[in-house]
Amino acid sequence: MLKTISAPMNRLPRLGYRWLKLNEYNISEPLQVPLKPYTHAYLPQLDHEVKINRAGSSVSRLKLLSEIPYGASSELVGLVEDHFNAGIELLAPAGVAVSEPVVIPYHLDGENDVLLDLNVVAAERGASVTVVMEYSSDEGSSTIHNGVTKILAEEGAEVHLVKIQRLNDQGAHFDSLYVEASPYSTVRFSQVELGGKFSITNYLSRVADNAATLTKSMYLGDGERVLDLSYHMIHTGFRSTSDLLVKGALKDKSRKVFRGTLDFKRGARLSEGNEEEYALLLDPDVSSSAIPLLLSEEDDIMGGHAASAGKVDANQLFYLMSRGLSQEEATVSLVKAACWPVLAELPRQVRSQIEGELEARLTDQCTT
Amino acid sequence: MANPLLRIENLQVEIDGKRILNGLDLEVGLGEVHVLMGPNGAGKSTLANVLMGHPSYEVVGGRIEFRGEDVTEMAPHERARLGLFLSFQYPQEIPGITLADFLRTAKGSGEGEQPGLLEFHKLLQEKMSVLEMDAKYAERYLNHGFSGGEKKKSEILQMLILNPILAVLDETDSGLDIDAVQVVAKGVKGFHNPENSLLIITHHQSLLEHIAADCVHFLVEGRIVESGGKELLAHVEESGFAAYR
Repeated sequence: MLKTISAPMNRLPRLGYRWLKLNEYNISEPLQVPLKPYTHAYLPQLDHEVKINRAGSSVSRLKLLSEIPYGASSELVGLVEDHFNAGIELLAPAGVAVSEPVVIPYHLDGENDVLLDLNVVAAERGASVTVVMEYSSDEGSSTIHNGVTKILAEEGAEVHLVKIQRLNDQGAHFDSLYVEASPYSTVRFSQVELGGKFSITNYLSRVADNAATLTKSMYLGDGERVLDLSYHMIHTGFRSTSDLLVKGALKDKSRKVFRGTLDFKRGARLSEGNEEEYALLLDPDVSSSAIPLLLSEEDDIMGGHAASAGKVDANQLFYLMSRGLSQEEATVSLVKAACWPVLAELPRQVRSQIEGELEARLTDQCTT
Repeated sequence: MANPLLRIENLQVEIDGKRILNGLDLEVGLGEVHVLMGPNGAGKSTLANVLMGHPSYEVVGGRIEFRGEDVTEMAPHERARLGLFLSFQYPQEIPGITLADFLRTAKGSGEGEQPGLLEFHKLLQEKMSVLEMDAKYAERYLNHGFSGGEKKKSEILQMLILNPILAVLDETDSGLDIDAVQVVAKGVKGFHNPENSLLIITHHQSLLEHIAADCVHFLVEGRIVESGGKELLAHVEESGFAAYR
């Protein structure tokens, strides 16, 4: 059985000039998704109180209400909700704090070339948990990943979700995230986008009274990769906080669109939202667009945004080269330095792997 | 000089179409300490940057020979790997790269092999203690948020770790208090030996009270107008450069 992906994705909450062609992402041609099982093991054995099950298992007591539309498109979300072939339901019980990250390795290859993962992560009152989801694929296989991840952080809970996408250059990657940050909770989201033919991600977060969502994202565009990264922070509560930092580099003929919306609803008095995006342009044929949006129904809020793009600083490059680093080595160092605020957020065990992959892709030594 | 370490012949340099160096000649022998002085805007920092291969400066005439090789068109990292080092007047701040990681990478690039972690940290700590630098600076981002004095110490630390054959110190002593000058001087003095050379660009004589100069040059309006021994230092102290303009 085949399903088709063709609908517009990452549509802006408020549309701008149509002629700019940036209101949404339109896939160049409809993508056929065969519905088939995913058979790789991905569920870790946990030796602590955090409970984890396969998506759709009966033990799930997680009810996450998505009162508003979310995701890259309703078509993509619907496909996962109706036909998911993998995913987790993770529960951190009240008061349980686990520092060791729960790692979910999703791997695609010739046999398992379609991944439709539905993930739910819930942290009860005062719980604390870190979840790392990795998406990788074998070289040469043409794969499709379309995922949905929902996070519920109950009062005072802390959830850190890390998503690392390093599919091969033929892979299609769609990822929709929905976050409910209850009062006094904190949801951190660290995102690494390194691979895929196109990577369309959508993050929507509802931030309640005194809650915070802190998002740090890094990306690398190489070859002809298309990245369309959307973030929508909806402040529903009093004194809520959102902070978004996106850093990355584009080389070859890659294209990137950043969509960041800070959305203060009535009642979000004394809330603060900040978004910042910076793109390093390593080649003349890359394309970088940034659409920061600020929407507010309240007058007593603080919203800040900054977006910029530029070449590698010539003086910094010269400085590093004067110490013996080749231009390529110096450029890698400067890209890593630019992405460091995001890299520093990653669990130590995955950070060096990401740095290695970043280096390989920047120096065209990548084998994935 | 038969086979100088550095030989600059008739060097002419422009930046944005403006001539800065007008036929500069200079030779530095192995094991020697040369001092370059001159008024503001004479071209001292331009010379330092051109020696290191800064792409913003255009060499429109002349040549630079280092260790017998014509390096005039060589990329900065190739010059560095040949043994040339520049201590910058205004070192760059690079948040996101720690001083220790950067230096280990740089040493590995220069020597073709990354030094072992323990061995490198031992070397780093040893050199940092010479410069009376707090060990915490090794884990701080490269020059980021460093005071003026700490930046200069960081430059000298890099020199001590990379161990070049010719170090060009571009106003390393400017902006340093008396104590810091002594510490930096100790580092430079400890570095210098018969197998390497120094080209010290300075406005002051504070560093030179600790390091004996073999040769002093005055650079005015883009060319060397006077070269001699240490006696020139007393001359410039008394009369400045007015006579050479």
